[in-house]
Formats: sequence, C-alpha cells, structure tokens
Amino acid sequence: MNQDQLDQETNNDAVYEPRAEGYGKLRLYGLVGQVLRELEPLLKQLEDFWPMMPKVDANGNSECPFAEDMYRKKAGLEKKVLEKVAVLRDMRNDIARELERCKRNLARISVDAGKLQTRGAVKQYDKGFCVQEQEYLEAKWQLDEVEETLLRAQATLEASRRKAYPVPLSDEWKPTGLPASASSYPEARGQTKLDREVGDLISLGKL
Amino acid sequence: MKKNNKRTDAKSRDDIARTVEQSGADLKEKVGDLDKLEKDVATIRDTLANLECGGTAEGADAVDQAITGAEDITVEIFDREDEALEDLQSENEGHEQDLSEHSDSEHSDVEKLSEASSRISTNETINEMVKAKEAALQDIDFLIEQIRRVKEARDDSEKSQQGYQGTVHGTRS
Repeated sequence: MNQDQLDQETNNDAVYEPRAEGYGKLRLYGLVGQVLRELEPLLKQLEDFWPMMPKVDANGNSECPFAEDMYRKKAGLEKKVLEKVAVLRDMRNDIARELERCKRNLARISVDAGKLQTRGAVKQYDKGFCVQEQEYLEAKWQLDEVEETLLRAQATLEASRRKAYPVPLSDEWKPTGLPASASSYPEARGQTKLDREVGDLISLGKL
Repeated sequence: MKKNNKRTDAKSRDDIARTVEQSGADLKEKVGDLDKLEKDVATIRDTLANLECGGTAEGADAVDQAITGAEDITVEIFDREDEALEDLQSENEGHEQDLSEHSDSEHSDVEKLSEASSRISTNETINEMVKAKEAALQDIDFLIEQIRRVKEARDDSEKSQQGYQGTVHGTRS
C-alpha cells in the first residue's frame, strides 16, 4: 500500500469532510494576498502605460521612434498581468467553494442549535457559529477583493488591447527607431560639446 | 412490643400510594431528562458528521472544537443525570423493600390470626379476628399492587436508561 492509498484510507475513516484542500493551502500560506500584491504594481504600471502608446499606422510606422519598443513593453506587461489573472481566477474558484462550505456549515449549525435543549451545548453552538461566521466573512472579503481586482484587471487589459500594435511584434527585444537625441548617434562621439548641442537642436526639427 | 412499634410507624394506604406515585413520577421525570439529553447528543453527533470542517496547520478546526465541546458538555450532564436516576432507582428499590417487609409482616399477622382463631371458641372474638384477617389480606393485596407498581416503574426506567446509555456511550467516537 503506497502513501496515497494510506492517506486515502485515513481520510475515509475521518468523520469530517475536510476543508477544500485548495483553500486550506491558500489560507495557510497567504497565497491570495501574495498574488494580489504581485499583481497590483503590474496593473498600476499597465494602467499608467497604455494611455501613453504612440500612434502607429497600419504598417506599424510611427512618428515616435520608440513606438515598437513601447508596444512590446506593453505586450509584456499584459502577458504578466494575464498570468497573474489566471492564477487569481483559480484562487477565486477555491475561495467561492470555501464560501459555500461556510454557508452550509452556518445553516447546519443554526438549524441543529434550534433542536437542542441543553443550554451548555447551545452556548458551544453559538461559539461554533461565530467562528464559522468569521471564516465566512474572511472568505467573503477575500473573494470581494479578488473579484474587484479581476474586474479592474479585465478592464485594464481590454483598454490596453484596444491600442494594439498593428503588425506582429517580434519576441526578441530590439531597440528600434531613432535615439532620443542626435548626440546618441555613434558618429557623434568625438565631436565637441558645441557640435553636439547644434546636432541636438537640429534633431528637434523646425520650431 | 415490637408489633406496637410497627403499628406506630405504619403508613396509611394513602401515604404509601402517594410515595409510590411520587417515586414513579420522579423516575419518569429523570428518564425524560435523559431522553432530552440523548436526543441532544444525537443531534450534536449529526452536526459533527455533516459539518464540512477540516484541519489547518494550527490544529483542529475551531468550529469542530466548539461542537465537540457541546458533545462533551451534554455527555457530562447526561452522566450526572444518569447517576441521579440510579439514586432514584435505589430509593425506589428501598420503597419496594419496605413494602415487601410490610407485606411479609401482614402475611405473618394473617398466619398468626389463623392460628389463634383455631384455638378460640368465642364467636365474637372469632368474628373480630376474621375482620382483622380480612383487613390484613386487603392490605396484602394493596401492598402487592404497590410493589408491582414500584417495580414496574423501576424496570421501565432501567430499560430506557440502558437504551440511552447504549446510544450515548456505546457509539461515542
């Protein structure tokens, strides 16, 4: 008999149906909070970033020399956000199951407490109800927070995707477009300070 | 001398009937208490069996602990009431013994009266003795009936008690 079978048998002997294993782990390790904490800065970054996307034509040409890089960075952010969203969606299902478990237990405790005549036992049921209610509220707050974040992430992703780069972006990051100033050109090296300033002014174009 | 004392201590039929009735009522009430407690224990076990609780790293689930606490409290009260019932049953047995002794004494009186009446020739005395014998026989009938009632009440309570003990302690996890 291997360990899994042994565990299975031990579980079958138990009177109580165990708490949803997934949620037990989430709660134990505070994983939901961790994912939320990881997602928050990514989401904030994407929210701040996508409105700044430069205009590009159907062929991917833009007046902005860094357009492709910016779109690539945005796509990278979207990907990271999506990964966290997928994890969070799984967690939401676990939390929702936990919430249902708490509801069933609360109903059971409440109904059975009504049948009891021993005062001491009723007090213990009240205690159990309070603890179960606390677990319910904890799961409810967590679910609300997760759902709120998922909605926000979804809205951000939708808005961000509306500003998509018209042609496929290569995965490899390659700086494209013109550098920020003429002084960035390699041939500018070795020029005098005045030459570089003139070059920079020219690169700004007509005033 | 002994007989006189007995007569002084002797209770009236009403007193005996009241005592027997009270003893039966007390037993019934205590059995009723045990019945409620047994039902509560069953309800609590049903709750525990249907609760979806689980272990966390910190130990047993607090909800489970609270309900198990309810079971412990109820079983503890059950045991206390069970002991009280046993006291009542002992008391009841004492009543039965008193009644039996009383009945035996009446039997002895009847025998003595029968014996004495065979030796007496005066009609008036014989009539008195017959009356006394009849009274003693009526007493015996009454006492036998009371003994039956006392025993029946105790047997019933013992039967119920065994059932409750079996449920509460027999299947306790």
